[in-house]
Amino acid sequence: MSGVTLSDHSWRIELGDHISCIAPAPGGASVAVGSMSGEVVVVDASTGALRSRLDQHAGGTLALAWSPDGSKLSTGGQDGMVRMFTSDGQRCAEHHLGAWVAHLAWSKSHGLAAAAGRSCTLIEAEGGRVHTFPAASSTITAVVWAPNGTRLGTASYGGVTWFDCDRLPADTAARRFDFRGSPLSLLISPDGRWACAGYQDASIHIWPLWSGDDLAMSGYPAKVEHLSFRSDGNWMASACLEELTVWDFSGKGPKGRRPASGLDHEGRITWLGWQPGGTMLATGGQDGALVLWPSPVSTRKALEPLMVLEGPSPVAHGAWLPDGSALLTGRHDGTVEHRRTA
Amino acid sequence: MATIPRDRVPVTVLTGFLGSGKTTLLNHILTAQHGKRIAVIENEFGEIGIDDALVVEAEEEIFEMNNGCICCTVRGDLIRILGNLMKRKDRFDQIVIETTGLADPAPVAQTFFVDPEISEQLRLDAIVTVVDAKHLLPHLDEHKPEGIENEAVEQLAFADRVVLNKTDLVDEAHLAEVERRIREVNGLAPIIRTTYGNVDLDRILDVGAFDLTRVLADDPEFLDPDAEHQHDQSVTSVGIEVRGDLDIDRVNSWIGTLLREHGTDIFRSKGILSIADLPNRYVFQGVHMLLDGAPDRPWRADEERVNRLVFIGRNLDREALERDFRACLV
Repeated sequence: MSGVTLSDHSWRIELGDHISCIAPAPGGASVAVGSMSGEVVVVDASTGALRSRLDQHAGGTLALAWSPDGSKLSTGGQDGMVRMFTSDGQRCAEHHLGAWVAHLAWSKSHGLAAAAGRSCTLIEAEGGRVHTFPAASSTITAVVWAPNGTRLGTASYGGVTWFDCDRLPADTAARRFDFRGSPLSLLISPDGRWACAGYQDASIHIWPLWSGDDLAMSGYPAKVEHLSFRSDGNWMASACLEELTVWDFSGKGPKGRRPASGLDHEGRITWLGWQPGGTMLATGGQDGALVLWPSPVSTRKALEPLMVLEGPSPVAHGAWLPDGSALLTGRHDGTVEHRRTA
Repeated sequence: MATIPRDRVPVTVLTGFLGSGKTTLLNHILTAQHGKRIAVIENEFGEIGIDDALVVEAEEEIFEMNNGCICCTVRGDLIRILGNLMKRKDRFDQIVIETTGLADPAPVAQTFFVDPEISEQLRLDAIVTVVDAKHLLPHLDEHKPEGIENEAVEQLAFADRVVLNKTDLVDEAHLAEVERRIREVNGLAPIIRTTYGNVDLDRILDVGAFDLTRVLADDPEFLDPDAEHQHDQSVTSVGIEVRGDLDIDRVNSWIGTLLREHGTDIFRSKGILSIADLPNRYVFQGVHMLLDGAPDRPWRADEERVNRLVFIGRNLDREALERDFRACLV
């Protein structure tokens, strides 16, 4: 067993309800937390002390995202509202988008993309509403920006639609990755070489950017929602039910390679994330456990956990601080814990 | 360790044509269940007169599943909405999903078979179909172009309970004919006569229609296939009752092939099987190609080991089904 572990929690806060999102600010000084009761708070990352309490989202907070420079925090929720706040908690913009605002993603150059129902709206960093793209045929389930910061990808049933935002209004899709299935997540590898989506129909799809190839990894026993890339882009972890599966994305990529797998949770994995800049992966589960895993060495042997921390309530969400120095976990019972790596 | 999950919340699916009295029944449920926390997921605008129920509007999103099951579809909107409802601290005692008048109930039911996040917290209790005693027959007889479903027939075929509403608008002879026609399609679902949607709720809520331990607990009623006045109905119920023990490999292979080849046409299936050398009854139930089965209680000493199966589907070949099933006996 390696010497890397997590400390007992160094701080712990309680919100009223199920933690739905945790977003550390890019500089790592503060953390925004949202709950299903609609609360949004910003706390000090090193002490957990409350810095500001933001407007509630009636029905539940669904998404939080900081601008890349950390100067703005955006929030979205079941009330159909997207809001923008300055780092000291002053509201600087508010737009009613109608449907649940469930996904937010910032670009370095084009502001905030906010997905509500079947539509995605672009909001500039100053808060003004810039453009709403043509509605998808079903609810948008993920929004990402390509590494160039101008190409926006939205996932919905039937595939991923990409819009180029350097010439607005960009109402014609620049690219489409078509696949007749229901994507649940979408992410781009840190090296910008791959786009990956987890699917309701027990598979993941991988697209090398921008070749147009579509690589499907099926054989999962159920839907795949949670995916995470290691910072160097060499490994991608996915979770399905209790099992962790890690794919080798180094060099030519995962095609034809066996994944490594790890089984320790006694309930469905509900969150996973690689330590930024590190080699450790954390998973949280419906069983309340938080498990730390090493990077695979060989894919022939099952992964063995580095550390298992049992908890009193199912893990709902998690996040690492940007420098990898601490892990934050939020639970169904509304608690958020901060643990340092040691 | 995390706390043990509380009992799964029952979900009732309410289907029926516009004008059948679906919304009236829903309001009756909400009034009579006063004090319980009920969430209603609606697909079309209805006038719900109760303020303390949570009403969520949903837009039907039907997704095909690429899982080797060609007729498998799920309701993406329900997965999202139900998933979010179950995250709230204030849990619900009951969830009612009201489908549009023209909805196919299959994607709703299949969502509960396919999505582990949904099935670990919620259980599909029953599909309740509301029909209007006065207008059902014309709907059943409506001629549809080739390849287009008659939704009235489909909603009856899927039902675990049929609420025969507006019985005051027709005479007894008409009612008897309506019931006979319902039986022709669905020999399993108890028919509950009512006016103004005023149903004894114990007969439609928390009835456990998808509970394996209650498979075929209500005695099915089949019409005599050779009887006079048989209507030219392509959707029918076929019941099979055969004594004797089954070869497990043969019966597995038979049901697998049957559902693979005819799963699109078989809406519902249920059965109690007597497997050779298995002291317990084996029970199963399915929606199209998705099947759920498990050993049930042991056969009692004074109980005859009789296999009982029911299929509700389109263009079912009664003789072939029975012949092929008998070939699975040891």
